[in-house]
Amino acid sequence: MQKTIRLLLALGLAALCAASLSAQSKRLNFYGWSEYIPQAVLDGFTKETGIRVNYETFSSGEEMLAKLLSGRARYDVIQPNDYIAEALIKAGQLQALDTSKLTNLGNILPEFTGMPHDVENAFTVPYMVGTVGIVVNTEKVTEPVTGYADLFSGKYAGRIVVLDDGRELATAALYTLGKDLNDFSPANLEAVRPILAAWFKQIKLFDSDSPKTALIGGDVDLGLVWGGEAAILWDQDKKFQYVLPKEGAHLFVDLLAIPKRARNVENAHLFINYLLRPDVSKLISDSFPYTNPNGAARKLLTEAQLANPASYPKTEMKLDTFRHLGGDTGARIDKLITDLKNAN
Amino acid sequence: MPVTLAKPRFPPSGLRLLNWSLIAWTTVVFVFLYLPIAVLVVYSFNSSRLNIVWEAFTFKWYGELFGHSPLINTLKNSLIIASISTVFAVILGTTGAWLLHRYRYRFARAIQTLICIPMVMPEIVMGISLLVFFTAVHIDLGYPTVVIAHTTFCFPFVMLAVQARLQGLDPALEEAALDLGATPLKAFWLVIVPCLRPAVISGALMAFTLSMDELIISIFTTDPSSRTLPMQVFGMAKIGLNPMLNALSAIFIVTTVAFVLFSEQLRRMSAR
Repeated sequence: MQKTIRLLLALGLAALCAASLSAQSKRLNFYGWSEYIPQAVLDGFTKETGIRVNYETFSSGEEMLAKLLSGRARYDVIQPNDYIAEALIKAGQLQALDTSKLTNLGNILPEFTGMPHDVENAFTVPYMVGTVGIVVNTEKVTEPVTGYADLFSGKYAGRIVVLDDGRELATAALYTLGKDLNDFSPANLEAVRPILAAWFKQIKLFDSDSPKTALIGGDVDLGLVWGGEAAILWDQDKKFQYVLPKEGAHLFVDLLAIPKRARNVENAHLFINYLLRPDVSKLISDSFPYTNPNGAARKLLTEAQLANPASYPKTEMKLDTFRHLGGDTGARIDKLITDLKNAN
Repeated sequence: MPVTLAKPRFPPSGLRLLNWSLIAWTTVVFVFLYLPIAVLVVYSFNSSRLNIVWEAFTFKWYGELFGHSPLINTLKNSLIIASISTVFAVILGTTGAWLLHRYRYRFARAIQTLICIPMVMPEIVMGISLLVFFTAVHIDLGYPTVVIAHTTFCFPFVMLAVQARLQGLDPALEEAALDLGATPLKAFWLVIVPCLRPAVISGALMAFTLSMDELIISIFTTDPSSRTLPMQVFGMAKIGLNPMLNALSAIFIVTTVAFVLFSEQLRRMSAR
């Protein structure tokens, strides 16, 4: 009995040490959006390099920011969106990329370089670009829906799904007021409150992870969703039409970056370079049909994919990106949304 | 005079009504608790991907389960973490129970209460406080932090199981061992521990099950390389329900029930 217990203890300690020390150099801790990278891509990377990818997910940029800044978890590659990356760069939380290791960087189309959040492209690499717009199940909804006014007119109360993203919703309300999308002055925030309060009464579901599920299931007939989700719906059934709201729409850029406290920087660069390959980027586009910033990958896409109005919307509207809001503006927006959600 | 047979076992009418009401109520409660689980298990054999309407019988989701590498990896992590936590919980729980039973401390009551707090504390409070603690002490999240967290809330269960057994233990056993020349440590090791074995195993099974099922505390104390199975399942469920999750849940339920039954059997054996 004594000997068995000693043996068990020794094994336990050995397992603990082995698990935490071994394969440290053959690992990559990747912190990304839920449902944004196909398992096949991760497995392909492991097969080529032998590096195992540990994939952790978040559902909102703010969640990622909080975990990165306050936690002790050390991620090697993260997937921030544009304004979060801007905040991280300003806070000195990102490492400068070693562009000599990123040989495929030239594949990125020039229109997606030099963007305001990272003008010199020193810290981030574009992953996927997209829009947020309105998707309509035209079988159930016969009138045309062209913008937020139509969507929240009251006719479709209880049949709408929206993203569970405070900033997206607040920006949508700002658009209806005709304001600039990044102008969250206290006066604007107060003006936005009654608009959102009226909207929230009509919303059935808040879902940032997979809003398409509710639309496919028929639980809701309209949605304010990510462009890629709408593209998947369009591929499945052409009854799901996607429209950019006429009051205003924005572009979002999801990026890859390496946090300052990353352990496996070498592996991180290998991974980013791998994702920039046209064949790999095409695989990502196949599963998640957002706007692909990789020019070489776009050449590999099919006609149908490039014609998808939700993936590559044709519009004359000027699409800006979100900028980092300093101070406590983010917290105030969050408080507003939480208050309104609780009020219902 | 004819001898009357003994009255049938049934109680008189008023009590009979009460009896039937009790049976009815128990049935309702059991149905409420177990019907969803039964449906979950039955639908794990459904061939439809959307899993809303029954289509046809199939085992394919169980097959897909074993090929899904994130699930297998996180299962491996969960098993390692649960095993190590159980070992530490058993050591801490058994020695703690013995010390509290055998020796007199001034604050024994307070210690007992403090030790049992992790059992009832809301998991999110524990999770956040541990995260704050690890941040303050500059420990990186990973296997060590998860094991510490799991051991903390598992060992009170072991301790309580062992303490229950110790109540029924004859104090003369230890005295006899000491009389025969053993040191207190040897007496504990060679005489007491074998008596406690059923309680220890029962507590260990409880600890293992709890550690495997733990989600909230794991979220706050893991890093991507030590992601546990419940976390992976939670992530997958957020995206949309998948029959693979039904299959996984069915396996989990069967294993957990087996463990609990075994643990209960041992406890009953040891309480004699």
